[in-house]
Amino acid sequence: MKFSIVLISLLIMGCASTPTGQIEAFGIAASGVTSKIDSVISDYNEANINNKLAKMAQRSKKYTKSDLDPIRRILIRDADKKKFALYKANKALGAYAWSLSELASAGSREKISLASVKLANSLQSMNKHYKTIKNSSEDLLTDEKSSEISRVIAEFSTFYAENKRGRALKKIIIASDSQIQLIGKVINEQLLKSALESRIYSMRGTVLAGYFDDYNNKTEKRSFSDRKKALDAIYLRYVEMESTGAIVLQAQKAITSIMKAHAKLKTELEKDDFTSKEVFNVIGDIVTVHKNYDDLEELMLNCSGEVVADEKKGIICKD
Amino acid sequence: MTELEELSLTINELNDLWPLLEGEEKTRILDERDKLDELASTLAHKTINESEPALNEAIESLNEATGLANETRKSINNISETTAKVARLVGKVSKAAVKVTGLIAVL
Repeated sequence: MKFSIVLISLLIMGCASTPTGQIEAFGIAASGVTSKIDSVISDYNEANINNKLAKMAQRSKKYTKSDLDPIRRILIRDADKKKFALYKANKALGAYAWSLSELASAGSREKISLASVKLANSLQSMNKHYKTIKNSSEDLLTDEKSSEISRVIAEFSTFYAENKRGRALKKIIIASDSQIQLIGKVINEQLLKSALESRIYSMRGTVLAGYFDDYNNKTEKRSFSDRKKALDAIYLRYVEMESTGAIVLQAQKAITSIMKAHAKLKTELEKDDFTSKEVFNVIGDIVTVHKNYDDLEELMLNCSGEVVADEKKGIICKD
Repeated sequence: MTELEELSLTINELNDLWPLLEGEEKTRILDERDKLDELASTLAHKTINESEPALNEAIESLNEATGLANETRKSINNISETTAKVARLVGKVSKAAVKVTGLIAVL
């Protein structure tokens, strides 16, 4: 018995050097990023509504409810989202990343240990009951024996769980890499860049043009302070329009970081290395990009100047 | 440059022009802008809606991998749940045995 305990312990110690914590970190960071891509879809929806209303307001026409009906057709509503390529692709990425992180933390030692402690307590309690029934002081199972049985079960369970988890993660990540690369590429090049960025930008431009038209029509009758106030308001719209590219660029960077990290995970797992420093670094990149994404939101809210993409510094507020 | 990007560029140029115009000329440019905008709207919608077969296949495969990861997670989590169940069962059975023994003694 003692030999088998030592053997199992050694095997477990071997598995502990292949922690799936890196993969769990990857999953959490990547699913956080994909939730941000959803916000680009929201921006697109909002820009669609504003574009339609701005185009209406740019005409001296009378309207009724039916004039607003076309807006319904161009919106990506929650119920329709499932049909959209961008949504489907992003959702698949997010769900995949989350499932990896959940799998990487499945069958934790804590849970197994807790269950084993319960088992040891039950065995000890059974022993007490046995002695009561038999009205004897003789043990059916000593406390030491109960603990030993529970420990062996815990160790075996942990070994089995870690082994199964490691093998499954390796198989899934290696098999899914080409899909991750393809989906990431399509999201970046076709959907974010060519479809959403240019469209959101021009729709925001349509709204902005309406404000310029208003301004130009009244400019001669206005005082300097009124003109300045009006231009200040227009400038905010201009900044919003110009930041479209920065938001999309940030989303693209985030997706690229997921693609890179996944490719690195695949390479390292093919070598059976769960703990490479490079894996750690690429996961760190996703977290940084994700954090930058949050920073960008902060920047957008607080920047009194222009939000621009600087090649060296990334997304910055230019005063 | 994609067709949608080209359309968007022209819309941007027209938006930069019409606020400076008046009368019929302004209406004409606005009409032209709106016409292009409708085209761009349809095209953008089509682009983000329609996916290539290769993308669909990739999404399907990835969803399958997600399903596999979830199933494996459940089966791994079952290990600790089974141990906990055995513990509960042992407790219940031994308590029941004491009760039955007590009853037999009374009878």
